[in-house]
Amino acid sequence: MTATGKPAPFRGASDDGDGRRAPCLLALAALIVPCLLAGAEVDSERLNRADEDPANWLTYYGTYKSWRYSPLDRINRGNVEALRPVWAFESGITDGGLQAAPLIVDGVMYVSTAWNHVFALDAASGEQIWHFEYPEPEQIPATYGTWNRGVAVAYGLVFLGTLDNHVVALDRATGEEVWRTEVESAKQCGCNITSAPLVVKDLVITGVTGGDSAHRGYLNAYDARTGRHRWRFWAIPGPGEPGHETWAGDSWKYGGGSTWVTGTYDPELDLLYWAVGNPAADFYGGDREGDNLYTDSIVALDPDTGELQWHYQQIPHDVWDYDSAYEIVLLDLELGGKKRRALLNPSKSGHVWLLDRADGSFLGAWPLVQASNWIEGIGPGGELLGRNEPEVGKEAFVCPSIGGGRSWNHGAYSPDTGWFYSTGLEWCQVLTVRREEPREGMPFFGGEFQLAHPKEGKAHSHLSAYDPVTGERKWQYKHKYPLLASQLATAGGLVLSGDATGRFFALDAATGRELWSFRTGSGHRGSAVTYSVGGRQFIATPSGWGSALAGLTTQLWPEIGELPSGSSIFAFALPEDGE
Amino acid sequence: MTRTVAALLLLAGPLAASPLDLTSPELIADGAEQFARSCSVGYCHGSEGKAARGPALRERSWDPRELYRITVEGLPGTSMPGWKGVIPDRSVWAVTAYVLSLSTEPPSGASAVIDLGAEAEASDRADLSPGAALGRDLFFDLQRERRCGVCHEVDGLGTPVGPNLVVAARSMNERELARHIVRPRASVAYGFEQLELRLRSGDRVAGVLAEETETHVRVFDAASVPPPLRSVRKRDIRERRNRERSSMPRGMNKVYSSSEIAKIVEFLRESGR
Repeated sequence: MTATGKPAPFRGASDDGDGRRAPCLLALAALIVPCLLAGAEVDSERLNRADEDPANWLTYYGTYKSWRYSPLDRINRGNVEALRPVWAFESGITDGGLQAAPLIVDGVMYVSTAWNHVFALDAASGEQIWHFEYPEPEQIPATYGTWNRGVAVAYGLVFLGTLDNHVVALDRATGEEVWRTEVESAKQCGCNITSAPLVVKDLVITGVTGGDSAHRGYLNAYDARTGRHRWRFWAIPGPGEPGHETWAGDSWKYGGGSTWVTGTYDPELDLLYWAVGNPAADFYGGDREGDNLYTDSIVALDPDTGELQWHYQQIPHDVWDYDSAYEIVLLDLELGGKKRRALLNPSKSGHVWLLDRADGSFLGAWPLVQASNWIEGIGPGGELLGRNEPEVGKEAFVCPSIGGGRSWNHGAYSPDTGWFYSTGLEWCQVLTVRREEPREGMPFFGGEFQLAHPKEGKAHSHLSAYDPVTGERKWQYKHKYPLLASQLATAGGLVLSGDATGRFFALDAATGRELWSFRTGSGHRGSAVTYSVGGRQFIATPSGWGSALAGLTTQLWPEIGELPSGSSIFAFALPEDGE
Repeated sequence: MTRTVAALLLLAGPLAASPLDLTSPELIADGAEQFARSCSVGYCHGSEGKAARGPALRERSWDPRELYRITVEGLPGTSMPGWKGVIPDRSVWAVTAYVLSLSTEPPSGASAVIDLGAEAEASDRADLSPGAALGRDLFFDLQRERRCGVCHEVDGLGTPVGPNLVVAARSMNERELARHIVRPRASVAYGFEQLELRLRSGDRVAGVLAEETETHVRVFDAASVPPPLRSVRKRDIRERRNRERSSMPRGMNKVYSSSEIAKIVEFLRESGR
């Protein structure tokens, strides 16, 4: 019975066990530190020191540095050709593909799928431990799809953001729901959560989609143990707040500024970083004259209060839908003989920005792609030069396309090479801008587009290695279809990723030469991880085509429409003695 | 729903009563514009229905009423939402007319004329007085984190944590309603007495009971707005009691001015008629 009428039904997990712990081999001297850490529950201290714990993949990006790099090197460029699948897990939920980054905590893998299912698997065998199924919402904001990109783990709980804009905490051992908090009515805001939450200290922090809706974006923090709301940071300042004057009239109420990709945290500076998406209407800016803060910006917040410490806006008054929303990679660099605590942020515009992460000052920017005509360049102070803004009612040829010079899927940084590995998408669009009245919570694009090949040749993509400071390209691996999976770099000298056709491959991090590949049956759109259980290194990748962008690609490559969707995890390892 | 949509609904009223010719160039042009704003967008059906993530809609064959029905109801289990109550009924028919115009067999003759009669829906929202319509906007104002709609549902919008205020408004006058909003602890609605749980861990959870199973109690925790729905294992409960008090947060007079509260009351009273 329900006293209130109709809270969504309570569905616990099918409990097949109680959160198995993998054996910890203290005998191996090199593993003593990880083992000591691994014995403890995941808490703030353990998350801060995740880079000392290579057996696990504790946060969405691996560690707060967001490198998507592992010091594990049992699998390396010398032996990767012997890599073979050791288990596969099929979730069966294929609508929306599988876009997540699995987490690994002490031998257990936690992975979320489309439609807000979460699975706990034995990371060594792939055997299911529990399965949680969030009740299917009556209606979801259509623009943002059915997928989910990952969970967070801490304090004995697994955190999930949902299609109907709730944050949910599950018991890590059983998968039973512990609390659920509605962020805001999804029906009303036209926004929801597809990204992985981030745990910082005792808080679980989550962003929302909604940047292409008439909605005012924000970031929220909840007490991790109770789900009680702690703070909200509005990505668009309200009346009386600094920055409000960068919005004309009432446009701030419907100005987008979503926070749809997971941010990160620097424990030393005690700053929370998040990248804010595009202003809405995406393509028509006439009703929102001004810079439109804090859209297309990096914001640094006090994690305890959500108060803004600094911001840096990459694209004032965006009219191309070029979110700054992607990953924020923390790098300590030597620049002009000076040590700088920097952050690197690739943007949908196809440019990468480098900022001082202590104060937000501009350190540089460089392009990931050649198909780029929205600006002529970026000046020495970070100013955009030669803006090519589409005109209302006229067809404009704009590069990169709405799909971005890169998609959200994340790059990787290897401290061994000192290079940043990222995909780049060479494609354009014919854009027709039109003025549009906002309708709260409804799509608010202000135009239509049709993908197009660049003038210089056929649309394609690449995975390349770059000097993170100068953007100098070290090598490039080309692909005829858009590469839409994240990169994984390892101390074994490898960079791993996958393609639309289902090929998962390992490249030599130094040369870009392909060393190994395996067909997983469905295209790659998620984030592969690596971990070890009992001293054996595994590489696990989601396999499952079917995202928004995957659908969009059929405008240029109709044959991609024939590629199968899927939703499985493949785990690879080297053969053990006797195998 | 914004005032803009409410205004559209008002406009839709008289038009909805007459038969619609699905081949009317005016209606198709209207549908094309609505399609560009709501259907082709971003990642869905693509410009002119050429497909993106959603299926291609052009160059197919459709039954007009089936197409209308899918648009209004959505397709459960897919990303296709229902547009009922989101865009006016006439606009759904305009979109239908536009998609039909792209199809391999556009309707003609009698099959192209739709008598809206039964389908046309009078909208309660369109009937609200200007004051009540403003009250509705305030009730659901997303710019206020502690708005009424966080815990109360009216006409399918908002979240049903607390009592149905439209029902409550039927048995109270304006003054009483306003007093309950400003001074919530003065009384409590039947069935919404606060449940207080003291847990073995030392924690305290107090709020509105949502559900009770053999093993769990689910409570909307009133310690925060929005209230988390806490699933507490019965074996973790040390003490449990019902308190004759409301879980509604105090301080709504800081969220809304007294004239705004008067508008909200007007909205609730009119909705309850």
